[in-house]
Amino acid sequence: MIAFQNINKTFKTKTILKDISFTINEGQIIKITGSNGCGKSTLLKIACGLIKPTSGQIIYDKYQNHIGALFENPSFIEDDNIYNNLKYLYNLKNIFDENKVATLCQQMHLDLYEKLPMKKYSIGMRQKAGFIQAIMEDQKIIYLDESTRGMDEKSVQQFYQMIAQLHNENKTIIICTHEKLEGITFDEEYQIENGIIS
Amino acid sequence: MKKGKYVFVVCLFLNIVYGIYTLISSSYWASSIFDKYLTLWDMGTYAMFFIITIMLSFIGNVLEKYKEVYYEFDKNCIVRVGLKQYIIKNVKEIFLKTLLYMMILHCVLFLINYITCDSSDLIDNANYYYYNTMDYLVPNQIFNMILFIGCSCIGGGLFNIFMYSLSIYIKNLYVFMVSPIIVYFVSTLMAEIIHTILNFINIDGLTGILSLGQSIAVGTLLQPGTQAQYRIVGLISSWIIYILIIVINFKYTYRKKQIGG
Repeated sequence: MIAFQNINKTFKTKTILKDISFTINEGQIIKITGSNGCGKSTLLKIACGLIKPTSGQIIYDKYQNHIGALFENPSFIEDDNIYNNLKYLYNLKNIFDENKVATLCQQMHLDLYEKLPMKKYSIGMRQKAGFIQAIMEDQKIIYLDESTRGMDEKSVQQFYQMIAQLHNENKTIIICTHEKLEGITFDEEYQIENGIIS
Repeated sequence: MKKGKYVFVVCLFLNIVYGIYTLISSSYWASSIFDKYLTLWDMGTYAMFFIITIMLSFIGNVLEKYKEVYYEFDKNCIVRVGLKQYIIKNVKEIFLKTLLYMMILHCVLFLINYITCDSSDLIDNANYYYYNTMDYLVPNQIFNMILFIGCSCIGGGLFNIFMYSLSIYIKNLYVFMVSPIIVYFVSTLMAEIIHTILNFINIDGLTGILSLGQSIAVGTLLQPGTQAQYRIVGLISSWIIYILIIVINFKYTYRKKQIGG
């Protein structure tokens, strides 16, 4: 279970999130929608522990150290290839499982052994690589921000299949998006407007 | 990593060439091979050695870590291990790698010194003390050199951590690439200014404290005990100054990243 309790976030004088409270149960798929700049990404960063809320807290009953996240505009070491990027991240906590990552890349129509530096990748390819890094270490809680941005139709279908597979493995998935994502059945849907969740 | 290895080979080559050049072109008094090595530093070889060594350990080490911040790749790492652990991990990695890089380069320079040293280069101790009154860190020459290399390696590690701690302020990759050189010259200039001001004030009985101004210079970290009046005091105060700045910078980094925006 993940409990968001009275989350408030203010940047200088601008309030982005106002008293956000909701609960996510284990194994659920949650969708958070809202217009651009409404605070979806900020909420996701707070959930991942990247930034602190001005007030309020997030309580994880378990798996706090098993979080995977794909942020908007996924970032990589731009002059290095996908293999080195993923290997570096994987090795931070685990021992790099090359076969597993190669299979995931194959499923997402990427080549793990591609020598191209990441800066030469298209938006869709970067998005796929970002998605892979968010799930490759068998993370139990997965946060995805605008996860299908720039992906072609075939890749989007593949993304749906992988989400279904992750759902079957009882992973908790939170997707922030303003797209419809018709191939996914969500357990709950929330909307953020003017910093307030409904 | 490939780039790091390339830089390492190039810099090693430059070091060797420069080492040979210095040994051939210089003439100086030394009583032993150990003393000769330190004299080489005292004569100003350190300036070239510093630039090569720091650029080598900087590019192959700190710059790789800076790129994580520059490309915002650190977000992915922080999600996995947390901000505090991420900083600690990088600091450890930079320090140990720099220690290794500098140790190798000191060994290479000493080896060149050893190979090219002719007995006619050396004079007996009596003459040595007549011409050269340098004591460096301790009077024993072998221990002195070991201490010098050890302190120099630690100083290099501290300097690279210091450079990494500046990554929160520098937003341009190319500016960051040349920043060690800028820091070197700025710190040397500042040290001279402070030293001059303190000497001008000239308080009786506080001559040791007055020399602390020189501790700001990066050279004090990398060539401990040479070209300074109060060697041990200067070295220790230099470590303290840089450690304090590093801690302040990381505390600021931690706070700024947690606030976001």
